[in-house]
Amino acid sequence: MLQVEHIRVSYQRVPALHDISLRVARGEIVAIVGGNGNGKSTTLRAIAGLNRLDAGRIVLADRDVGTLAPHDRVRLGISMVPEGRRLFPRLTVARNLELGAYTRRDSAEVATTLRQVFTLFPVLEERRRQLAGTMSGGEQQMLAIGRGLMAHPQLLLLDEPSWGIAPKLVTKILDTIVAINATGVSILLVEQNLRRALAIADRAYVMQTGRMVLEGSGQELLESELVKQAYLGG
Amino acid sequence: MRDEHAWAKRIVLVALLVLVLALPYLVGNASQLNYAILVLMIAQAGVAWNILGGYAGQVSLGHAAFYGIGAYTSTQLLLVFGLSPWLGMLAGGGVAVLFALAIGWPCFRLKGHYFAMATIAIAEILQIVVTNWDWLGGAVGLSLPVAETGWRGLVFNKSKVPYYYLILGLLLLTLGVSWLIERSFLGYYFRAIKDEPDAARSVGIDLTRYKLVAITASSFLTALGGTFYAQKELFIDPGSTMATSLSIKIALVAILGGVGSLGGPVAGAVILTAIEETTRAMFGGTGRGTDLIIYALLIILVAVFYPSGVAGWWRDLEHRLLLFKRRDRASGKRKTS
Repeated sequence: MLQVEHIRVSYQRVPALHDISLRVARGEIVAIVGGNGNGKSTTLRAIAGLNRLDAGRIVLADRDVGTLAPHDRVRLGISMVPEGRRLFPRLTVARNLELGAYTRRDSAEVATTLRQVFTLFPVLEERRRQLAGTMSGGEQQMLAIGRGLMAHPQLLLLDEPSWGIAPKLVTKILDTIVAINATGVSILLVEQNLRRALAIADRAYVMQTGRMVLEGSGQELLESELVKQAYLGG
Repeated sequence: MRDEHAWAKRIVLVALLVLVLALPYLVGNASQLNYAILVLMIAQAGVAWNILGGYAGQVSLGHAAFYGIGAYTSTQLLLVFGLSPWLGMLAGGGVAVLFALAIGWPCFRLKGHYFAMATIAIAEILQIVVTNWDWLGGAVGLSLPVAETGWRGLVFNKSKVPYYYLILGLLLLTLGVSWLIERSFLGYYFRAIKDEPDAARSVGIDLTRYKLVAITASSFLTALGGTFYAQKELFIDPGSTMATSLSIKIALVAILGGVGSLGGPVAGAVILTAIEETTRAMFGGTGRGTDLIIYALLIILVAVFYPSGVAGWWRDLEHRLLLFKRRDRASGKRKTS
């Protein structure tokens, strides 16, 4: 459903992504792994439309979306949960979720999605009147994912969902991602927590200095010599 | 406890309103009344600025352009067509909005201080254009006729009291619009855009559209203040209605009072005008140099010590007071039990 073809992105003329290609099939969980500063987040931002492409195409369901504004891509089914969560701190939990559904006009359908989000994360319903900025890291991550789901995406982009939350909660968050995927949402996940990301991914890409260096199923990559040496400590 | 506090706040507000309404009959002489009018004028502009600079977070240092457009549009319509300043005021607002949208479209692509710099440049260019435009009086300026006095013609030559109520009305209108924006869906879109622009974009909010909404309201209301200035002074020139120092002053009352808070700019206006009057008495004359030095000093002081301004300082004080009272009450209970 998503096809990224030979994209290049730079920050103020300094190249960050060189010739990146990847694909996500319908219903898949795909992970991008690799160390800090290798362009994983930039890849997601480029797909969401937050970074301009210097070259290449981004095709979503046979349509080139590479030049569209971010809000138009949300309408076509791409939703992003950004790195560091990026909640709206001075708004309540309920308002954050409401803004997640900004592009949708049918209020009955939005209400259905809201119920699904509350089923997935009951704590959000309890805290719906609380200001987002006053919640714990784990709760904020749940809210960030919930806000991403409110757009009713076909493809959910998750940037470092385990960032800054307690290890016990990481398991819960990753389980939830699998559960979201089971409802038919394709997932493209960026993670530093390589072992756990590969454990839930159907396929994965390894990125190094703005390039894809390896591709394979989660299991294949866990067993690959390169990954073992570079990331899993031999 | 909380209710008690809300009631106290409401009573203080009503008392303030009564005081402000009765003020023309409490002040001793015409110069004190004029001083009050000056405070309200800069407060009104500051509150209007705050819609764009505070709520939407787009710091403009060129609001004098809108002020000047308001003053020149109504004045020229009056001089050429004999149009009532009431209609001229609305026309001035309209022209200011068109100008704002034309500059907003390209400038909202710029971030942070680049946007601020662009607004300085645009206001400066407009001032130079008007200074060299003979039809608009050029550098000499325009004088308004004192043909029709009273509320119809918006010229009052006997007493300044009607001017006081007129600008008070404009200020309340501007505060009302800000209050509505703060309360409505626009208010929380603005908070989202200001705090997390990238996240706002990634949920699908078209940032430019809401920034344009903010600049529309802000420029329209600022231009109304410009028309008021023309009607009050009966003379306008580029230096008094379009100068960069006016732009800075408009931004400064909001920054000093507290960006993004409803009443902050009004507090800022009271304080800034008081400081200006004091230094004027101390250094003598109206040295423009000293004004600018004071503006610069205040900006540095606010930025370093209290970025949320007087309103933020007040909020913190109130918060601490509430906590203190609560603790006090709790310890009182412990003693009696």
